[in-house]
Amino acid sequence: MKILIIAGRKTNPIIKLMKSFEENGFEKVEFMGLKNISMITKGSLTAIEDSGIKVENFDAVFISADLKLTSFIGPLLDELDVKGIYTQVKPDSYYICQNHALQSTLLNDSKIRVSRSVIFSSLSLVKPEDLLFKYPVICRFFSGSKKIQSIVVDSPVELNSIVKGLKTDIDMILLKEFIASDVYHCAVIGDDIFVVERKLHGKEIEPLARGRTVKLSEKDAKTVIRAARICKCDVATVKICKGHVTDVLPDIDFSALEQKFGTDLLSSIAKLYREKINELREKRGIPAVEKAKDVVGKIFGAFRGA
Amino acid sequence: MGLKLLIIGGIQFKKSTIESLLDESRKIFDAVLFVPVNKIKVVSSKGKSKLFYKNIDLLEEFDACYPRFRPRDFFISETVLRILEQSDIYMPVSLEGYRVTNHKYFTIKKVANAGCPVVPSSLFISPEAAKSHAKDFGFPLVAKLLSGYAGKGVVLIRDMKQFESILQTVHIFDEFISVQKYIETGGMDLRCYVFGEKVVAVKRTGVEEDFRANISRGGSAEIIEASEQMKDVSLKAAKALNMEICAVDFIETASGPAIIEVNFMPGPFKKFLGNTVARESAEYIYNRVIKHQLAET
Repeated sequence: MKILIIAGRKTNPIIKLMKSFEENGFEKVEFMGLKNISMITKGSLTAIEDSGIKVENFDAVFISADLKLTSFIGPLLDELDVKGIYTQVKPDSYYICQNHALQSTLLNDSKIRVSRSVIFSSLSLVKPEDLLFKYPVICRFFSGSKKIQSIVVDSPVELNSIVKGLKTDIDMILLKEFIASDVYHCAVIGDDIFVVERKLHGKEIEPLARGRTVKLSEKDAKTVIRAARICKCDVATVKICKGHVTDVLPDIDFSALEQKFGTDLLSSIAKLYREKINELREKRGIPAVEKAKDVVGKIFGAFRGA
Repeated sequence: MGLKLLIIGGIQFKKSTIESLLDESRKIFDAVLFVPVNKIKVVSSKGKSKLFYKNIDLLEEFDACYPRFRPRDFFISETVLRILEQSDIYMPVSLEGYRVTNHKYFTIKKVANAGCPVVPSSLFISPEAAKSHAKDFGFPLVAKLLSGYAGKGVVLIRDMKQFESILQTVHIFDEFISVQKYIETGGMDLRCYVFGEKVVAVKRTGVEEDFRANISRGGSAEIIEASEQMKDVSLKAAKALNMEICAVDFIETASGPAIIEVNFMPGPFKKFLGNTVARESAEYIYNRVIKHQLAET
């Protein structure tokens, strides 16, 4: 099995992830830096290139990229899909995750519990006295495709003064119910979930590094996995708070989470990729590849059984 | 009961375009309402999202909707389009079409995947990768801001020095550009308006000394007979982007017409074509919504 890692830089967590793939029996693990990649379309073919590395030579690609690169990642994921190469995030995932309003309405309409929200594209429509839900509310302001401010507001008076004081051109305003509770920060990897509970102090959630590892209830676990899939991600960060999904991101914070979960987190990714590559091979009539030590175990198991 | 059409415009809509669309739509629909997207409120709660204009629940009131969104309104437009797609309202365009056509390179890649002839194009993140591919294509070449429209953000690059300075500017503004091979056309290109299975072809000629043929930049347009090849390619491109109404722009190359762009909300070139585009759009939507309703009953 051959895997290509595409990321901004070859950071320590990425090096550890590559090592984990190797330890889990992947015969070829290579790195491609995002800044060196070009996509070139000539005729009906599109090439994804970086000084000689060809993505077609790999069974799967693992992508770790910032949401602000959506304009590049969108077509890249689409092309990997066309080429039949497995990635942990599907076409559309970055578009869904970069647009809070789109994500929130998509999850809500897919019957995932999210906090109630109202979306406007003009400040003049915001009527602070006339919201459908109680204060405090989370206000997010967007200009073009950039989030320019996110703030928790306690009262209509406060919201009014913020709205009146805004100087930048605002293209979208998202107002959401604020759920005053601790947040479960979940790294979803296939059907595995690694959870860190982050305490709420006032209106601030403590940093991820300070949180403690916990287990989710079965109901929340199902919700979290479903939310990730709805946002087209097999690997994602899902934040859940009192049963309400508050955010889905198409990446996980390796450096913070790896300290808490060690190699389990990275092995889980390798396991997911093995399963997905084998699923694809099965569909194409190619024999599945097993991990060397699993094969040895099976042989010895067969002897023991005999 | 009569048919009702909702037209949603971008925040900065062109009044004359909307007026001709309203005029033609009112001739056949029983009711037509135009709402700029910045007057819409999206309420999302208890498993359902709704669109409101004043106190009108738009999803309950209309049979068809023709959204005409610009790239600038991207986030709100994506959200509104997805909600409309989930509703029973007929739309001649799609969220996928909006997303892809707002991205010059993505459009080329998608229609090329579908087998349409295209002008060789590329996309990259870093200036270094861009420079290396510029050498491959050779100068002059055409650089396009991914989110530009109506000819804005399209530059003819004559040499590496000019290219380097453009790359520096777009990098500062966190923008991406797509680079296309430049093909000399004498400032002329061809546009095929697609209305379902019908194609109306237009030849556009730019003003002197401008390599772009955009009407908004002073060019002119006239209806021509489209070749069978151009018709087929236009329909294929529209289908690949899940759009029933759009416009596909071509340039003539040595090996035949090649796509340079697909437009989500094409301008009607009213000065040269009168109300043709508005009339064809309204009639197509009307006939299609009747079919859509018959199919549902």
